[in-house]
Amino acid sequence: MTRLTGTPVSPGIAIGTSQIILVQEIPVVKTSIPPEAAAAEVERLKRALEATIKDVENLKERARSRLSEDFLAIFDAHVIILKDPALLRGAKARIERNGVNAEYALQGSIQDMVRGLMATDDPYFQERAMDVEGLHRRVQQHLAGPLPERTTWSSGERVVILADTLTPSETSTLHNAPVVAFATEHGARTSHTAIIARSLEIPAVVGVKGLTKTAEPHGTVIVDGLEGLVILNPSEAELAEYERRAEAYQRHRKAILRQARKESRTVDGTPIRVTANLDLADEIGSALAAGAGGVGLYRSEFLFLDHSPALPSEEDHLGYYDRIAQAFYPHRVVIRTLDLGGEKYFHAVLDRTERNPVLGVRAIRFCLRQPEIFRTQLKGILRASKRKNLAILFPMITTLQEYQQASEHLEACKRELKAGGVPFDEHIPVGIMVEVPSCALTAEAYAPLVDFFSIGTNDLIQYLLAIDRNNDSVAHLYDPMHPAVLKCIAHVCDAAAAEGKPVAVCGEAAADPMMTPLLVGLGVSELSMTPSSVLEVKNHIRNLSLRACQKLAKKALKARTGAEVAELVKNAVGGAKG
Amino acid sequence: MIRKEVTVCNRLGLHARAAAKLVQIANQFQAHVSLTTNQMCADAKSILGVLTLAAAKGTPLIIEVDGPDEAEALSQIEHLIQNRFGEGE
Repeated sequence: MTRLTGTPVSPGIAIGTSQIILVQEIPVVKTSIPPEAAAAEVERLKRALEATIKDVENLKERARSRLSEDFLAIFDAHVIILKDPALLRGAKARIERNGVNAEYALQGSIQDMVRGLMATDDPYFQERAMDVEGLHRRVQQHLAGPLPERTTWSSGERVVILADTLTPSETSTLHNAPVVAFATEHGARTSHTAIIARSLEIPAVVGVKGLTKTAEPHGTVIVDGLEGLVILNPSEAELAEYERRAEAYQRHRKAILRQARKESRTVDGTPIRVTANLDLADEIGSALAAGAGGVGLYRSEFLFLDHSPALPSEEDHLGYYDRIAQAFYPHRVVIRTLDLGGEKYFHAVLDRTERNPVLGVRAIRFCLRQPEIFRTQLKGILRASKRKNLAILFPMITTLQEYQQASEHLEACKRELKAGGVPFDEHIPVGIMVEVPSCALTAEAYAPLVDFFSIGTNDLIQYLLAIDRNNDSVAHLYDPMHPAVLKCIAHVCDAAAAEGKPVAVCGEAAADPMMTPLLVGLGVSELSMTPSSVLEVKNHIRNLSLRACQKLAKKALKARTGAEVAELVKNAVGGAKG
Repeated sequence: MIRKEVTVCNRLGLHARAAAKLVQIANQFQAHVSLTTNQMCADAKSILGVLTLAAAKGTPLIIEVDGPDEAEALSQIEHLIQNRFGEGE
């Protein structure tokens, strides 16, 4: 029995038989081919390439209804690469001139292709060059003769895919397979595996160190997408335990899914809006299915990263936002303006020589220095706002002056569109993201001016407690329950309430069931989170009493440490529940 | 064989998306399609070739098409480029 941990990216629990997929190491044997057999060898390679193209096209068809156009375009790029005459020509020359077999000739030609794409200076195709390895493996599999792919599966068979990493073309080998879970050694929330798993609604855990080295093929595996656990060769007792948990989760899931459309009100009738944080347009479907009451945070960075090194045009912005606004209508969609910089996101327009980018020219600071980029985005948002369900959120506001400058840019964009006769929502709500302590502590200065506040707890905690979350040595000090964090949130809520303005929370704390009663008690009226948490949190809220939450929050504000707050929440759970 | 000179007129030139669209259209035809700048020549069905041209906005491009369906192929490719690859401006 081996327990491995990773990042849970798609919830649920599944038990099945392992199928291991390794993208690395494609064993290619070099043999000689006599001149008279060369033509047949080229023909064999051609057929393998054609079969691979078909695989990719089939996969695209299967994924069509689930994934967005941008994501589907990756499959098209793969087809174009496989069809590139240079690939076959290079391999053909090797077979004919060097007298080598198709497998070996292909390997050489693939390497040329990867080098060529890497040299093009085109980031999109440079990224695709990474995918070429996966495509290569697939062609080699076809060359290996009768396909290793199984098309029939015995009834009741349950396959758990364990892989180092999964590319779209790797996933195509799973055609028809009864996959019940994924676990991969690499990857993050936005990786291909995570997106596919969430759209298929099966559990997935990524970033599982040592997975492919430890796992054996056809062994029994438990994947716990709730806790981020992978258990190899579980004991009888563990199997029984997880079978029970899997069933319990299914039952629970069905029960809360039935209520997805239902409003989330506390037992004493206060509505708390639960909305989704979206990175990619791909997640629109899962957010809607979970009953998200709109989008509390659309991170527009990905639109920029997608176009790097170029910048998205006003039309690109318009297209993206219009699609999301339409999908969620009549619910509100909050577009956060560009939050480039900091530790996470890179784009060619950023200054990479900054010594401390988290405290450097990021987010609104960057936008105010690059008004052209900022205004292009603002105009895109405005033009997409004609349904009147879009809102604008300025990130990382630190001084009132920044907010005023950002608003002036917005007003200028409105005037420009008006002069051109372009329709837009003239009263589009504008909010600020509270993630810098100075902003939280002076919230009363902003309250009369803004339409809403949105507290970004991830950054607020990082700045308030001086914790770099990516630094393992201090990560344990990162504590959303620290009384200083609660005091900042309370201050924002009080300042907002005095002006009748709503407060949302859109950091990870919003999806933390321990934090929910505290946030509700402090006066937060909207929680925005990753789509896969929406159902759970909505359900949780229906069991809370606002009065009990308010009492709890009052006590928590007097606590001295995060541990004391945690203790209060634990003791209050019975009381806070109605 | 027919040929025509056009100018790349979209803001980003023959970048990823535009190049992919062009190759996809060329792939629909039997005819051989080549693109020539004053620097080099590429097979329009080769993504690697088209990307290597690195044709920026304003680059004059000679399209040469040879094959049974050459007229239709030329007309579609020309339309795509003139139409700024559907990117707007």
